Amino acid sequence: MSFFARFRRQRLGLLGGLVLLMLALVVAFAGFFSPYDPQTQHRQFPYVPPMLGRLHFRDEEGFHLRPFVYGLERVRDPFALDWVYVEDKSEKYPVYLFVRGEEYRLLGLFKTDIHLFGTGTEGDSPGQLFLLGTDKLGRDLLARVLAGGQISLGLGLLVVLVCLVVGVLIGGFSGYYGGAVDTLLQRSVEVVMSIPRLALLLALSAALPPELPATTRFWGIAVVLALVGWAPLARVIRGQFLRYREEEFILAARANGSGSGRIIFRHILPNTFSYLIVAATLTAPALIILESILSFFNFGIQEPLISWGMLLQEAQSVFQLQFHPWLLLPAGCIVLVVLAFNFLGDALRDAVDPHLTLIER
Amino acid sequence: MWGYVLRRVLYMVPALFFISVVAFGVIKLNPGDFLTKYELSYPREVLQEMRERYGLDAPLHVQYWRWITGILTRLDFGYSFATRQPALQALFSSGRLLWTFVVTGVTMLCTWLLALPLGIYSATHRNSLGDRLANLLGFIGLSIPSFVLALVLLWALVVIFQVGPRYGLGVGGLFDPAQAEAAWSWAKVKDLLWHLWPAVLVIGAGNIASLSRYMRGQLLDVLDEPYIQAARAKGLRERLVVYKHAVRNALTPLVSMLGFWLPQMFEGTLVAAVVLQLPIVEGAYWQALAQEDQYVAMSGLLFFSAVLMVGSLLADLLLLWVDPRIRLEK
Repeated sequence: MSFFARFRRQRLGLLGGLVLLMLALVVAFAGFFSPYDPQTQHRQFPYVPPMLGRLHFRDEEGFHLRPFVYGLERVRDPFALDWVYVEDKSEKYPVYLFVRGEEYRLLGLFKTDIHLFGTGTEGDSPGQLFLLGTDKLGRDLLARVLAGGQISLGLGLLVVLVCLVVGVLIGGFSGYYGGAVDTLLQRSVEVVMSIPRLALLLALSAALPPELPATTRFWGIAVVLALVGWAPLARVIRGQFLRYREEEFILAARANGSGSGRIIFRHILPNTFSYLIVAATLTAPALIILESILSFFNFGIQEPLISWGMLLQEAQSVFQLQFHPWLLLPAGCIVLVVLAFNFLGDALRDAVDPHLTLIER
Repeated sequence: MWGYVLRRVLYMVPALFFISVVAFGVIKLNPGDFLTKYELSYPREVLQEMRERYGLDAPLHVQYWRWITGILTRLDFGYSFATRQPALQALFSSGRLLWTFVVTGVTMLCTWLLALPLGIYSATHRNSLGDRLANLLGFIGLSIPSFVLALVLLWALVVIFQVGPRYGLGVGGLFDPAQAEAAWSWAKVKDLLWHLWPAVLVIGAGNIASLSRYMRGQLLDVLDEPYIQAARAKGLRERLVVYKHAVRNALTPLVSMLGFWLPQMFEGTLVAAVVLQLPIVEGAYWQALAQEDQYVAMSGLLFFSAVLMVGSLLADLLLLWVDPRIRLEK
């Protein structure tokens, strides 16, 4: 049975892949799928609970196909003395598809102001539509979760690619040439891997000066993650190279007069592709988790950039969990992504080689 | 056997030396030091004098040399600027070291006690509803990051079980404020257990999942062996077959997983220490990083690496002891 035939039999793996694909699409077009800009502060509306339940189809006139929301009014709850939001039934705002709203850049390239849904621009329709609620400054959580996904997913994939390249170079040469270089490299990899990953990661990102601009910091975090992440991949790749370098087709290639560079990149590397893909799929969720832990601990991504871990910082105190539990939503996104990656990775691994243990958990 | 142990221990010496260089370098990568944030509030001369007194103005290799010779000759790991005591005390004092071992030990124990029966059940009831459920839970347990689990647990405790500051019950730390100073009593033990279980779950969830899945796989392999068939054929009761013949033999390879456990447990412990505010060494390390308390952070990195190394050595020795098939000679 071919690799693809075996992979297709893994339903959960397919499902994981599908979920990831859809998430990637939605996140890439974050501006289009969210009615507001993630940075816009609706100062009159802090901590609005999710409004999914406040989408109405029915009013006193009967049923409408087009859903609408009532105006929001902030009042003091006379018993708990907290602010609560009630619906102001005198105002009604229908929800339109492909509505014009705040300007944004689609994929960072094209300027446009068309959003998938919304109640129209703030100017001509003050209706508020916070499907997933707002944070302390009244910023739309849906927009922030989608924007956070751009960095959480993007950074994870970027770092995996860097780790793969570094891993192939170092692991490949180490496995192909063997000898003293190999021993030295393997010993250093072992020593670095015996330092606990998270402790090293925290220490490295603590070394990034706090006054760095957010984008520079983003690249710094990427470098730090890559520094910690390449070693296990290099080991896997080295093992593969060790296995293939004694094979007869390599001997044949050498007899043909191929140089070592050609043998490494043209003859051995393509044979290890399936393993590389599996290793990458299983490394990506680990990196996404590490990034979110860093950002959650305030050592990682910082405002004005958004990542899921950073969003969860706000949910850290018991008080917030008690009164504004919707701030936990980014946690659900992290779990979903990691779960999908793990399903996909497991299915790929089973399709490549069921007895493979690639990444030590 | 002893030669092997000696070789492993000797190997640890250069490794730890290398790690000490890495730890020092990583922490010193930070261009500032503890005094940087006081630059606005104190005159330059005072700070310069302080830097001279603590040797912070010396070139890096001199600073490293002072640090490492201090450790080797006087067991002096440097000075904690933030807490004004020796770095080692800042890491270990007020019972932190003890509680670290208590929390880790209890977590390990609970992991085995939960994961093994789960794995045995899954293997003996293969493809049943319970097995599928355990499999699904296992996958979720492996996929849920520890800090998310900590947040969700906190949320469940506060919102669903209605404990929390508002109701006069703490959820962070290891004791309620009222019990922390009290002498040991049943009430205090109960209080400790109540605070311990979320930590155990946060630290252990991933391991419980992977261990039970691994146990299931091992047991299924063993149950296919001919000697199990023989045991059944001679009319042994199924319970005896499973527990006396199969489980025993399936357990041995599990010990080899101990080596992978320790690093993973460490990550969970660090996260639990911060989110649940446990008074353990990992929490002190995190604080030292946040406060740029350099020597405490370096010593922490060194300490954790040493513990992991010793842990993996012990795990290997344990494997050697339980599995006589393993030979050391090449």
